Parts: sequence; structure tokens; C-alpha cells
Amino acid sequence: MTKAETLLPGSAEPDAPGTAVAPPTEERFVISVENLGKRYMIGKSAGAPVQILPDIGWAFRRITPGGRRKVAAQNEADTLWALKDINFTIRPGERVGVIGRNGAGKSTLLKVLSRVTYPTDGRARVRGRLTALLEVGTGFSGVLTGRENIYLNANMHGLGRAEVDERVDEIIDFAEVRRFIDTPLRFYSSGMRSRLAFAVAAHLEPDALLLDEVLAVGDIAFQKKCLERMQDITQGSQALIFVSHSMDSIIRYCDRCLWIDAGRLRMDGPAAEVAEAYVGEVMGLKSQVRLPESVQPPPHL
Amino acid sequence: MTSKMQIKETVIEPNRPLGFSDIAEVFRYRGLLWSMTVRRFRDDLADLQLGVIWFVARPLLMLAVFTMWRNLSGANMGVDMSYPTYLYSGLILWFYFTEAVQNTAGAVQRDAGLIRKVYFPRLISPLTAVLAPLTALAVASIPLVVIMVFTATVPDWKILLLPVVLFQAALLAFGLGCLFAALSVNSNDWDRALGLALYIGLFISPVIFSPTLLAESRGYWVYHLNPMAGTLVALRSTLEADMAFPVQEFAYSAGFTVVSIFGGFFLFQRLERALLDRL
Repeated sequence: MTKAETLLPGSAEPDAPGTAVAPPTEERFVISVENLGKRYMIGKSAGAPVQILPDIGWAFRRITPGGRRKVAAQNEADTLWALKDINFTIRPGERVGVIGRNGAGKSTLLKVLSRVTYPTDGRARVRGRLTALLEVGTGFSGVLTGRENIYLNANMHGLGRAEVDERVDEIIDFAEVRRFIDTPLRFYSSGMRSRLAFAVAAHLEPDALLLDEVLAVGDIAFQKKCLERMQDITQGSQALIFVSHSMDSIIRYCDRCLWIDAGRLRMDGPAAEVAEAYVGEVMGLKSQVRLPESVQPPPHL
Repeated sequence: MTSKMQIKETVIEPNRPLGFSDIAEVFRYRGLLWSMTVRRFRDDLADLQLGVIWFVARPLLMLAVFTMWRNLSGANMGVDMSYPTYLYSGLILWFYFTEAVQNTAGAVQRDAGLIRKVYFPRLISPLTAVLAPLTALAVASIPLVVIMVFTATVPDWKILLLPVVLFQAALLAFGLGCLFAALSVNSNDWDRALGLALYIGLFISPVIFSPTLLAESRGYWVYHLNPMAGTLVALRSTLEADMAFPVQEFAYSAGFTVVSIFGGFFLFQRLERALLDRL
């Protein structure tokens, strides 16, 4: 595990000269991602037992020269970089879409930023509270009442009890479940459940909000309500990162877009431009994308 | 920077060792610790019509059985205080310990669904496992008070040490639970071994009899290698004025606990990382 550290010696010192072409003064940012990489082990190594305590065979394979070569070769073959050398900065108030094909690394990016998993390489800095909605209603329990579930879910996203106390009435009204709020959740209809879940999510008021197509559930009216609310709460200084396959939503709700392709940042620019380039390539209309900033990182990095 | 003093910056990096900042973070998430503990407790109670009766049924029945055996056989248990108090208090602490270790050992697997979806300090999960059974212990303590009144067991100032003893038992359960959680990732053998050890432990730890039976022999210290031995004897001395606090024995238990906590932290961290990447 220490291998990852040695790969990027500069990561220990944030302002070390020469690590990045950073602006002279500390720029205002909500999320700053620097050379981020995430490696997964696939194939044989992935099926191997989780190595918590070293065993004798493990030690033997690493001490003998032949064994070490074998291990290294095997590791190399079984490595998949789900993300590699990702660099970008998100400033307060920016709404950034993330697009890319299935398996390109979009979800991995959200998982790393939301700290559900660890990066292998590089680092990311987050100013303020970041809330990731990889799923709505995480941790809901059928035996707890609606009110208790509000507390549980909001606490899970980092709100303290006092903060939930302030918002609980608003949440209940938004979800339109006041009559049932002290009824155990297992008696709720699925609609009531998702309204409650979304109401909590909508009142977390984070500095950065990550959404992973969670809004793709529910009917059109519900989706619209959710998206509008999301737009409202990101009017201020909050930043939004929105992973979606819907170019329509990306262009409508985001002003900037990141295109992730095979674990790398392929393009970073205005939402409409990036979406167009992406659609163009996926549809096979253009075999080679020729856009000024397509391969180079954006100027501010 | 001065204008942003209160904005906290989180750095997401590879291989960050578990440190004091994690403990501070657990404190910031104390609301979640409470909510998760309540959830766990309520999950355990769900669909139980008799509810808390079950918390007292097991120790009370075992109290009846063992007291009957002892009275019929006239066996010497080496206990020089009220035997029902001795036995019952030992049983409820042992059952708490059993529950806490086993819950902790299974905590990460149990909460895997959450851990993969949302970030929260991971230590919350095993801590919840140790805290939730405290409710059962509290409920089971009510009959203990009744027993103490009926058998005229009078504590003295040493009762102030009771929280210390309970705290040590909880921490030990946490440390050992994390150890077994790490061990049992790859094989269920450890799970079985833990279950067996805890079951046998009930009969060989100072729950039913007192280690004063061994006082003269060299086996006394071998016997006290069991880290719960000192804890259990200390528990009784907090309840009975005439019983001296087993300073050396409890010091060993406390030392063992500290070691197990550090080992447990280390293993827990490795376990968590290993599990997170198998998605």
C-alpha cells in the first residue's frame, strides 16, 4: 500500500514548487483534484482472498527473487486504472456535468471524491462539506419512524443533531408526509419513501453536491421537482457535480462538463461543447474529434 | 485564508493512516453514532412481542439452574459473597461481552451496504456494535438490583469503579471483535472458533465460580491470562463492600485491552480498505 505514496513524492507537500502550474495565490475552490488515480485489481488477483494478515506463502513469494518477479508480473497484468492523472478544479457556484461511456470511470470518480473509496494516486482537496448522493435514502430502516429515519439519514451525511433539528420541519413538509411521520417506515408506500429520502437530500445544504443519476428514479414530475430543487440550492456558492447519460440534463443544468474516457480526462469545457463532441464521437459521426482543448488539460491547470 | 478560517479542508489521499483525527471525526459524527445505535437496537427488537423480557430471561434462567445445582450438590464455588449476586452479575456482563464481540466481528460486513454508498467515519460501525448491547445490559441490571436488595449485598465506594470496569469490558470487546472481523474475512473457521471460545469462556471464566479456588496454586496466574478474569472479579468487588478490588488482575486486563485496541484499530483499517476495493 505504500507503493502508492512513493509514486507521487510531491503529494505530501501541497505547495511544493513545480508540482503544478498553480496560480500564485490560493485560488478559491471547492474541489481541487490533482493527478488523481485509482487502480483496481482484476482477474486472478481480484479473486484472491483478502490479505489482512500476511501468511507464510505471501512472505515467501515476496522474499525470493523469482517469486517477486512473478508477483510483479501478475500485478501488472491484473491492474486496471479506473482513473489516471485526473486534474481539475471546481470553484464555488459551478455546476459541472460528468459524462463518459459505461465503465469510463465516472462512478469511480464520485466514489473517490465522496470518500467511499480511496485513491491509489494523487489527491483531492475539498473545502467545506461535500455530500454525495450515490443513492437516495441510504440506511433507511423499516423499523424506525419517518422522523428517526430523517435523523439517521441526515447524520449519515454529516449533519449534527442540532442541524437536523433546525431542518426537520421543513423536510417533513417538503416530503408531504406529516401525518405519517411517527409511523415506522415499513408502512410507507414506495412513493412516500422516495419523497422522504429526497426531502432529506435536498436539505443537506452542502458546499459541494455530487449526484450520480439518482434522480433517474420516479416519474417525470418527480424528477422535474428534484432537478429544480437541485438548481435552487446550487444558485448560491455551492458547487454541483452531476453524472448523467442524459445530454439534455447536462446541457440544461450544468455550465461546465468533464468528459471521462477510459479513466482519463478527455475534455473539460463548456457543457454544450463537450456534450456535442461526446455525442459526435459516440455516434461515430466524427472519427477524430478536433477541438482546441480536447486533449490538453484546460488552461487554468 | 483568514476569511475562510471556519471552512474545513478535507484532503483525500491514498493510504492515510488511522490517527487521532479519526477519533475527532467520530466525535463530530456523534449524532450518527447515536442514530445507528438506536437503529441497531430497534432492528434487534423488531418483531419481538415480549421485547425486553428476552434480555432478562436468559440470565435469570441460568441463575436458577446454577443456584439449584450448587444448593443440591453443596459444591464449593469459592465465593465469599452472596452467590446469586455473584453469579447473576457475572452472567450479564459475560453475555454483554459475548454479544459485543460477535457484533463487532460482523459489523463491517453487516454495514457493507452503507459503507459502499456513503462516507462516514468507519469506526462508527464497530462502535455501534459495542454500544447497542449496552441497552440489554442496562435492562438486565434491574433484576440485579432486586437480587442485591434481597441478599443484602451492600456496595461501598468501590461502586464508583463500576463504569471503569464496564468501559474496559467494552473496549476489550471492541479490540477482540476487530481482530476476529479481520481473521474471518477469508474463512468461517474463525467465526466458529470465536463462538466456541465465548461459549466455553462462560464456564471457565470467573462467572459461576471464583478464582479464589485457585488462590494457593501456581495455576492462579495462568488462569488470569484470560483478560476477562480480572474484569469479572473487579465487577464483583464493586458490588460487595467486603471484597477487595483485584488491582493486579485488573491492571493486566486493562493492559491487554490497550494492546487489543491498537491491534484492533490496525486490523480494522486494513480490513476496511481491502473490503472497499472489492465492489
